[in-house]
Amino acid sequence: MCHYKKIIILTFLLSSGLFGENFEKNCLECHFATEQLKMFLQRYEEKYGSEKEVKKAIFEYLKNPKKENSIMPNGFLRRFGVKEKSTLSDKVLKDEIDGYYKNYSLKNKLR
Amino acid sequence: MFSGEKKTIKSVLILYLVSTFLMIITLAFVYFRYESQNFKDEIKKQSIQKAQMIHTELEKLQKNKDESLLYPRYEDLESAIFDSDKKLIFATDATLGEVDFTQQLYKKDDLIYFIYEAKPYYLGAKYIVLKQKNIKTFSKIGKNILLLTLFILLVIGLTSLFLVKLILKPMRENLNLLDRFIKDTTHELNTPISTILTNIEMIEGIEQNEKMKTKINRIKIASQAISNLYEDLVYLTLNHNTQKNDELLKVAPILKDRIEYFSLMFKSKNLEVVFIEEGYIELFIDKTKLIRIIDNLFSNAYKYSKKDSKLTIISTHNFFKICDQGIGMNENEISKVFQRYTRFDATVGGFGIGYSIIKKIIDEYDIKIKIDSKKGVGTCVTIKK
Repeated sequence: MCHYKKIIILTFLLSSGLFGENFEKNCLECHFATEQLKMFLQRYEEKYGSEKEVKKAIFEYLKNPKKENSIMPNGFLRRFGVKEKSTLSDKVLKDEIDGYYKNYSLKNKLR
Repeated sequence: MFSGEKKTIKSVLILYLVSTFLMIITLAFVYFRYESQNFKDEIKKQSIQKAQMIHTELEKLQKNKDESLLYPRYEDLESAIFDSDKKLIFATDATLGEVDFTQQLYKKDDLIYFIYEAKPYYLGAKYIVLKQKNIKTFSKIGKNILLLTLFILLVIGLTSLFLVKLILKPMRENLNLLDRFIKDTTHELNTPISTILTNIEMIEGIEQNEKMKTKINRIKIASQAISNLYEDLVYLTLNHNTQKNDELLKVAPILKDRIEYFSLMFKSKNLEVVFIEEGYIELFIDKTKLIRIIDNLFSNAYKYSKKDSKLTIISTHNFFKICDQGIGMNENEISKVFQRYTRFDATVGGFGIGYSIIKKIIDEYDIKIKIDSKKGVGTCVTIKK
């Protein structure tokens, strides 16, 4: 039930242009599970800390995905391997990462 | 209390107290360092525990076990989290925005700040900063130690004063005895000396053969020496009871007069007395006191001069000077010359009070004295306005 809620919010955000233009097409096509996206960002934050570092690390990974710069555990990588290189332009990629960070990071939602 | 005794007490006290003070202060300093280190360690230990508690809570928040995303808050503890770029993520207190990341533990405005580096960075938080009220301040530790130190120093000071007095007690008694003895002796000397001197003068009036004349001269010299000593003792013992008759005096005529008085003595050692008069120095002084200065200088010159040597007395506008060719003194002896009962040659008579009297008088009238002396060559004493 929770998932639906989030998808609704996500759709709303998408239409309001807060995300990169085609976040749905560029990212959500494969990473449709919100929990998975959340978990990725958590792992990035655990390892890299600051917003700048996290965004940089995600960008570098997407441009050139390798076992060495992946934040996923070895077991996961052995089973699924690393993803393919992103075909998006740097600018689009950066925009999508900004949007992703803004919406999935829990940092600014602390009360 | 005698001045010498006071000086001894002073120097012993200073030496003892300074060394003790240094030791106590060093100890206090080491103790302070130890205490503050202990205090720091204790604070650190407590802070790390609290920070780890927050860290665990952040983990729970991230793992989304708590949907509310409510930052952990505790009583008496303000905290904040910063990312690896030291950018504030969240703070329970607005003032926690500015933190000095160069120190792990520090004090500001009586509050203790502690910075904990967490790993992994749950919610991207690398630094967990704690702000606590200062329970027991460093300055309080310092104050307690300072008070304790001062108390110990006071006790030591009083004890040392008591000890010094205890140690000096026999010395003081001896000095008292000596002074009392001199006072009594002085009192009893007056009549016999007067008798001897008046009778010698009477005998001098009668025709005598050469042999007898020499003998009488010797008696006269001896009596004059005693008389001189008597005058010194009277000055010392009755110093404060005599009336002062200060006047502007020409020194040269008095010098001449005293040379005349001492001439028999000088002759007995076959001293060649040279009096050079370049000018008249004038001093505003009591005549008997000026005579005490001159007599003591002459008496010393006579006592320590070698036989057949030269005694030079110079009088100018500014000073008068008495130079002998006696045994002389080294620098150490010169520095001790004004102490009472100092004598450098036990074979020569005297109590060693001459210079102490001179010193008393010149200090009273603000006159300057200069002693130039060389061992084996001689001594020159200059008295200056």
